[in-house]
Amino acid sequence: MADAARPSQISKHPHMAARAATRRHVLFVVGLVGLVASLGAYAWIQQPLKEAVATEHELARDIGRIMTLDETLTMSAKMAASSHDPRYERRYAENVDVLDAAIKATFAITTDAEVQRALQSTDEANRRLVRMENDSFALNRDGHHGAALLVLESSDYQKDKALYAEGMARAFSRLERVTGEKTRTVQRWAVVLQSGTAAAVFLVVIAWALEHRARRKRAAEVTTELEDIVVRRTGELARRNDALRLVLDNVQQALVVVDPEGWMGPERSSATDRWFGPVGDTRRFSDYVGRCDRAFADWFDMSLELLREDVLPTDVALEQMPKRLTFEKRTFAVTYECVMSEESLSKILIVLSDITAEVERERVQAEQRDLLSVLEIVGRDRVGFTSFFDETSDLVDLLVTARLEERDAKRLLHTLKGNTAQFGMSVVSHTCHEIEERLAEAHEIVAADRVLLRKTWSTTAARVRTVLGSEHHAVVYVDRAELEGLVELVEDRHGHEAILAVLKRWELDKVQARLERLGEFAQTLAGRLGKPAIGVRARGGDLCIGFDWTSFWASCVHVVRNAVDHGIESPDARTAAGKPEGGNLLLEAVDDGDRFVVRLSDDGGGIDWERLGEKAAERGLPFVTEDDRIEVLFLDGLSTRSEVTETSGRGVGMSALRSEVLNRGGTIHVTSVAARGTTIEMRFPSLIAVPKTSDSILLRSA
Amino acid sequence: MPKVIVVDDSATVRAQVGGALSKSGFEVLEARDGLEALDKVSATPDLSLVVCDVNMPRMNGLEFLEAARAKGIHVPVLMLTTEGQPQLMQRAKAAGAKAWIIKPFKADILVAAVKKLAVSNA
Repeated sequence: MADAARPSQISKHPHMAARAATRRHVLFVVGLVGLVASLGAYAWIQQPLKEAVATEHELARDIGRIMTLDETLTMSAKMAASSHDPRYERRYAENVDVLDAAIKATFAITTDAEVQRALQSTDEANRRLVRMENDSFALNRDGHHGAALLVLESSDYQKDKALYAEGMARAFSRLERVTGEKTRTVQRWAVVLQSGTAAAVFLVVIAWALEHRARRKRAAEVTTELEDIVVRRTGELARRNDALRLVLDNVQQALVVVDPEGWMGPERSSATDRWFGPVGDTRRFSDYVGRCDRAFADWFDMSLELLREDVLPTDVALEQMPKRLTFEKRTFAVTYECVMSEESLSKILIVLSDITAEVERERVQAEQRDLLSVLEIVGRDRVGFTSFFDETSDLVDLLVTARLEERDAKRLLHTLKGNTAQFGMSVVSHTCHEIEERLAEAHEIVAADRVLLRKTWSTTAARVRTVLGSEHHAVVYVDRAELEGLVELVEDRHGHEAILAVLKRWELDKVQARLERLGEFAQTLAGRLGKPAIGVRARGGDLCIGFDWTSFWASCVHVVRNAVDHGIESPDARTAAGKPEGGNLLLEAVDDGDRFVVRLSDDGGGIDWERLGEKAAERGLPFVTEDDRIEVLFLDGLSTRSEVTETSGRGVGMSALRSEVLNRGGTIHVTSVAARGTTIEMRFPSLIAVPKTSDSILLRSA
Repeated sequence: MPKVIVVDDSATVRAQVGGALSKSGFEVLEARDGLEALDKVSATPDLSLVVCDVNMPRMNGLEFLEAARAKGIHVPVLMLTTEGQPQLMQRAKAAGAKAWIIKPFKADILVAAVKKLAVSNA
């Protein structure tokens, strides 16, 4: 928790960090602006500086010229007076205006008041000196050379000369000072601006350095924070992994993750290894579970490929994955969860749950129900059941061990299914139905199904044997009425043969019981199909028959089943046809000493000859004479049912019956009238092998 | 409206499957076995999908697949099968079946499968 609660260093003082950043930016901008301004101003003052220097130069030049000209004029005037040479007056005249102009030009250099005043006094002294010099020239021209010289040496002239010189000196000195000051000011500014530039550069450099440092610090903080996050997350992950491991170690399901190619991920629950062995180097899930259940693994590979191909919606493809795995007498329910990543399949979570106990419980319950039914039947007809049981054991042996033609396998399996259903063994019957489904596609009873059939039968048989007792063949059961009848015969001193005939009967099966058995089956079946109760009349009289006929009676189940399942119409159809809602069956057996006849009739809709004709045409079979029709009706694999139900419809039942009848030297006759019903009559040579004298006993009414 | 043919020898299955597909907006044709299916498929060039049982009289589902391929018909086929026959479905795939679903199936599962297969072919 301490880790999780620790705030990140970056977010600790966000406002302070922001202020520091603002300061750095302001510093940078100020420095930059200062730098630009300093450089601009420095460039700008270069012009005044240049002007000041130029003025100084001009001033110096003018001073020189004025002094020279002044001296030239004075000397010209003096030389003219002393030498009387007129050339000096000309020379004077040439330069007097030049001096005047030079003085005026110097005036123009500055507007400084002091300079102006000094120059003013110079100018005035100059004008007086020029007047005196012109006077001197005039005297000279008139020949008064002494007077001319005196003018030039007079105290006035000397005084103005001094005024002139003093004014010039004052003006120049003032001008020099003014321009000097100006130059110095400009130079000071230059220095200031240079300093300013340097300071601005310094500021910019400092701002940049601060920014750089702040960025490095920030990067370091981010790195630290990321490391913190990694440490925190790793911790969380480790805790979650521990929790997950705890779950995986203790969950009572095998949890395996595979990728779409079927490769197993490293994570799985401990139950996986415990149940199916160590994974070791095995990488593919189908190889791993294939060691336990090959059929499961093959189907898994097939359906995974279907899922991967993405030709079906994912949920539909998932539905096609195998859902049951059996291994070492244990049953596992298997479910699948898809893990999608960006709309495509990334992983599949496979969950295997041990449902052995549930399956076992259901099986035990079903077996108990079956055992109750068997007990009930044994109570009613022990002999019949015993016979059925022995025969069924043989049938299972044949189906499990023999290499049978597909057609024979279908017929025998169908007979087994019907017989076991009739004798209350629903578990075996249901197993037969499942095997039939697979037989239809594989065209043989596959090895796994042979094992399944043997196992299912032996389990049921073991329980039934405890009910029957192991010595069931050594016991003969006799009705009390029969015993009393025998006692009566002995008391009445009947002949030896009559008594023997009765005793012989005890070794035989009673036809009436057989027919009643069929009738009960019909009623049970009607109940199971949700049809109204069926009226059954069984008429077998006193006829007895050998136990070797058990398989024939078992085959008759198919006729009864056909009658109930599709001979007898729906209640609505029957009402519409003016018949009672519930159907009727008449099951008869007679022996007139010439022929033994078994007749099974229903009052249903009759055989759909038209549909049967279509079926015959599909197979290219003739369908003209009654023989043709019966031939088609009893053909293997031909059913007019368009739907295979657990009760009938595979078209093998009737052919099983025909084999039974033909093997006993009998014939089959079918009478079917539309809307009236169907009668199947089987005729055999008479059973009555005992002497005629015993007829009365054999046919005596019970 | 996409056309789908349902091939099964069971009228009940045809009615159940056909009804569910009609309700979902498919035009449904029916055939009772491979031979009948072959005729109807040949005569219907704009067919989107064949839904085909395996075990049927006269011509079964696998024979139908092979016969259809031999005739150059390449309409996608969805097989209906029972669980536990991987070799059979491998053969069906090799013969050109697109996919298969296990019987018994719920109508909505079949409709979802047909929709995806028929649409991908459209």
